[in-house]
Amino acid sequence: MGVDRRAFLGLVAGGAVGTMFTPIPWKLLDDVSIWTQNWPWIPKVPKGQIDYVTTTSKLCPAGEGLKIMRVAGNPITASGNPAHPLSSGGVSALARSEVYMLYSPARVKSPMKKSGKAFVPITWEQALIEMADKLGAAKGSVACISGDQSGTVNEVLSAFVGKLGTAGYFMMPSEATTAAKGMQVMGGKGQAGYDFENADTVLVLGADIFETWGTSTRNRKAFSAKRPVGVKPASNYIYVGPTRNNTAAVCDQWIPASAADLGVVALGIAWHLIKAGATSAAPGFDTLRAVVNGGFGPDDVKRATGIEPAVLAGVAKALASSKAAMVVTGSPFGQGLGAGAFMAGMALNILLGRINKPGGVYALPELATVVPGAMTREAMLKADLPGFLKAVADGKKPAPKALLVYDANPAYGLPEAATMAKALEKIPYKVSFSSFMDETAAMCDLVLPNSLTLERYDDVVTPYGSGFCIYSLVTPYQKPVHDTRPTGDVILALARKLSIELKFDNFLQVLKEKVASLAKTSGGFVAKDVMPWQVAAGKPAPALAGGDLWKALSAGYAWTMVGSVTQTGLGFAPEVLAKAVKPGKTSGKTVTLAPYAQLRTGTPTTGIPCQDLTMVPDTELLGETTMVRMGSATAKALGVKPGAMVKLTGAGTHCKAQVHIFESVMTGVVSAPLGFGHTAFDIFSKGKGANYLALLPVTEEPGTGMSMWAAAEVKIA
Amino acid sequence: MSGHSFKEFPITWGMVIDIDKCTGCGACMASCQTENNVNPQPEATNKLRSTSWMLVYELTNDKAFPDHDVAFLPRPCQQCGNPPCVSVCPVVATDKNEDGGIVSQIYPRCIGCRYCVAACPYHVRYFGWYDPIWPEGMTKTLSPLTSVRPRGVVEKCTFCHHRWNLAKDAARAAGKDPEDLEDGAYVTACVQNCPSGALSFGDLKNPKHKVHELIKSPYAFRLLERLGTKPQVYYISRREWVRKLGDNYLKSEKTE
Amino acid sequence: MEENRSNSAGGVGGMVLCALIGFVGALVVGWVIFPKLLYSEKTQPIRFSHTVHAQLGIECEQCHHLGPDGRLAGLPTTESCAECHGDETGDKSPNGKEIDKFVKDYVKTGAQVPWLVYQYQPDNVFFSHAAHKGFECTKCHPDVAKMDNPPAYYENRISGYSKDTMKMWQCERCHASMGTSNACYVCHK
Repeated sequence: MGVDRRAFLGLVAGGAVGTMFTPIPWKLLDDVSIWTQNWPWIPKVPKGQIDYVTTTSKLCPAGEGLKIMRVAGNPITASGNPAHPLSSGGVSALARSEVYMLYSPARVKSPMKKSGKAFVPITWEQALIEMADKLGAAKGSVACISGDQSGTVNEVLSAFVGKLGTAGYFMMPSEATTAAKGMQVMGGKGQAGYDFENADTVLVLGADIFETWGTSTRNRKAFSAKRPVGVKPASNYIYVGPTRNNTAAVCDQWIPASAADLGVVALGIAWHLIKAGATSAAPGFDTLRAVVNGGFGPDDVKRATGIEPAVLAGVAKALASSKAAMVVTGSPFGQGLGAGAFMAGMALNILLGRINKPGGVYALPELATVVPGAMTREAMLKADLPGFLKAVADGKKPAPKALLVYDANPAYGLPEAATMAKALEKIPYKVSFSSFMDETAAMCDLVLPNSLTLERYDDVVTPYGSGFCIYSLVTPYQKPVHDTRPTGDVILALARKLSIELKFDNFLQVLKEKVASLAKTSGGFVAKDVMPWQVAAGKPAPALAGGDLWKALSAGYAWTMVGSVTQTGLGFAPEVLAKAVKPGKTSGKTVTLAPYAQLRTGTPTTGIPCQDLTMVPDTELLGETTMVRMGSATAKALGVKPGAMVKLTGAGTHCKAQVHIFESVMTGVVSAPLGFGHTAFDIFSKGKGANYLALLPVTEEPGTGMSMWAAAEVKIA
Repeated sequence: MSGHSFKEFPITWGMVIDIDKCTGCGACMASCQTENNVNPQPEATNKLRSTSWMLVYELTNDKAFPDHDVAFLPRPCQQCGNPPCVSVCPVVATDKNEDGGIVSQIYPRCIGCRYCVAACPYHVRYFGWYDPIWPEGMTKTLSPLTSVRPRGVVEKCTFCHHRWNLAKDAARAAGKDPEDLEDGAYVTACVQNCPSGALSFGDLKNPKHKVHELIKSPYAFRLLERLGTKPQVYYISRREWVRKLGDNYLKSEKTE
Repeated sequence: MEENRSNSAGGVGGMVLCALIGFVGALVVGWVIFPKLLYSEKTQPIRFSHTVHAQLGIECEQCHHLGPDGRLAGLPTTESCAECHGDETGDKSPNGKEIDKFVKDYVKTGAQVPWLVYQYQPDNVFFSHAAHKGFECTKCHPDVAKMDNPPAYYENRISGYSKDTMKMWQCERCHASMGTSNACYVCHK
């Protein structure tokens, strides 16, 4: 029997009906729908056991302790470590980036050697041989720039450079350099430390204490603790600065003043305090009184700053009547403030009797160095990097023969960028230890990538701003993602090649020795149940448990010590104050540039952390244009319209910007975000906006001779 | 059904945000992005196309210098008691049906019609315009607790719902009642990491939880309260101009 | 007419017969051949014998334990296996050879074994073992404790998931029967 048409139709129909009674259509439909949910380019999430380990952030200058979530041993996210005094569970947008930045596209993946205009990868062995050779030849003229304010690795670097014959060991300029200079001029000792936890009235002169200044995460936690949600705050914060910035936004009062006038405001307050009877036994009080009465009376201050006498009288009253008042002085963007303003702020603290008191300013002792020949932090902070580079650029000082750059990006992160770049170019041999391909690394002959926080042993020693001495450990939790090495180890290996004796074979030994020395320091304890600010307030310090300090530090606890250096000569240095504190100049045609910094745009060494770009509002960066903020009165005076593209000119260079009208900027001031305008790094940083730091010229502060650039005139067209 | 009526839940997770303490640093946003596998976005300045479940808005009182004032308002999903987004979803990819009152969003079921995006008065819902791409190697840092969404579906803040699941598991392991968590046993990533202590989280109905009291503050308010959406996110500000921005108030109206 | 009728009758009969053949054929294809085509069969990288371990008195929970946070640790890591199987045995028996293979390929290299998990759920599913602790493991998992050879793993060629991956309706049915909520976020993430 042949198959006729009917039979065939029957077969098909039967088959079709039969198929309906099989899983084929239903299962296929189901599977196809699942298939559409699993495109191969959509990443799968990892599987495995979740656990948590602790370390300390090195990318974030606030030095907060971190709790790292891991899955199957791989770090996933970084959170604040509640047990760590500089975190108390909080974390900055920058410290949060510690994990994913391991995989930043900007990371330097292996040692690189400059060849023509490009870089070629070389092995570590080749790199060390070459470097030993070049540094050996440059003996006696090797300089080093470090951007790590708080690491013991500075001991290794400074001892190494010192034994090679140094042309200078420089810290990137910061609040710490300003404060160190100020303390030195005033005849004081120790690092200024601020006890926010116990303070109840805080006068903030310029310092962006809740964003980038010092231990900013801890500052905010302390602020928060005194201000429970929904009830009347138990503290009073007054901010003085050119803009109502992130810090001022939560303060109880904002007093507009240019960064150039902060010292004037401080001495203006001193006038009121002295008038109300404040006195001091500290050296120079009588001269200070004369200086203050001579040029900083209410009318003088009003003429210079526009601040009404009643406002400053109110501040003086608030400070004088407070149980625990404190004055914190700093630059609104973390650098460039002359020592004069800092000293004027400290003068207030002395007048108020707030030195080495709970809720006041502590002069913190420095922890003992362990590497033979290492410089102390005090000595490191003395050097004036912008001043030095400027002198090199101008030919007033010889360029060093070789330069080592550690965790710093001077080609981007310094003012008057054109001059600094010129100086760097004069240095014939440059080595960068940067983890990322930053602007400075791009200029160097050799880039020896440092392993990142989660890949290396390191430490954080009393970051500037902390109210107590603190030591916490950085512990590696994974093998380096790329062919990188911790710089401490590289320097020690290099020292061996050059037959320089540094006592240690590897950096871990240095840290162990450092911790061993801490265990012997009296008064230190591990902050667990008792926090250092409680000890400052009178609670007895627990004894350092006899057990293993290293183990406690590895478990994420911090060693802390409350105490202060005995002061022998801390005084007002009124002669210097009289010279250094001068009202800022304003002329009609220009405006004052007031940069502001935020941790979400990273530091000069990190670039913008890729996830953090989403945090930047479109009133700050839109596409590839950064915006500058000014009040409508300023815009009107300048003749610029909201949204207009303008050119800012200063320090012999210019930057583009779009105008954003923002009324919380003083009239006559233009406020500009920092952290943008990178020419290096990756797609998340490169070409995004302009670097307004370049517009600030470096000037020499009268009286102290220190470089300063906190406020400068710029032209807008 | 008369439109959609939503039941009350014995546990009602809620957030209280003290605007007077927020410095606008973005740590909450940073925490949210990595906790919830939101990919880094190189063109993130285009706010109509980028994704940020948690978003910090800058508020101003619209006055000229020197009377001008600034505040920051972090905005997660408001987890409305009466969510306008749920009733418009044609495929029930979003629902408010679980204890805790968290508005769910199921990505595989979402068809990307964006009705919910249009319906949400708080702009908390984000449509994935692009494939989620991470720089090479960075997918190793993806969190296993949240799935990665493909392009073309809508996503939003979940109050880090996975953390509730983890907290319940931890309670079970410790022999405690997973339905009666202690205050702080479950908090979202943004709340946990906020350095300013501006965010609080807990069960609004549980007297043992801090937020239960906080929402009674005379300074507490909710966004667009008069729409009747009954958000589970409360804001607190001692500044009246901030509270007034929370809804369309008449000039003469008081908010306290 | 007669011829026509008989023709037509025979035609109808033939058509029914063919339809029946088609129907049965489709059933055979659908139930027998289709599943074979849909799944690819895979074997475990190491022929792990649960029986041998179970007979030594090792409890399931010793390797597949709930962590202190209530999360299932999942499969043991190479390191934990290496606590017993750290060195090659040199044993020439099939089991001994398999152990040596494990030691050589994973313990010595520090790699994790890419075990094929019969039950892995999609990324968007949250499953709490702690919440299901009251059930026998074998309610959802194959009773491997009684198996000397790990069962074959069938991977769906279209969806990429294991044949044994539990479907949503199965979860929902059990939840419904237990009176447990079937709200979306109970299981989804």
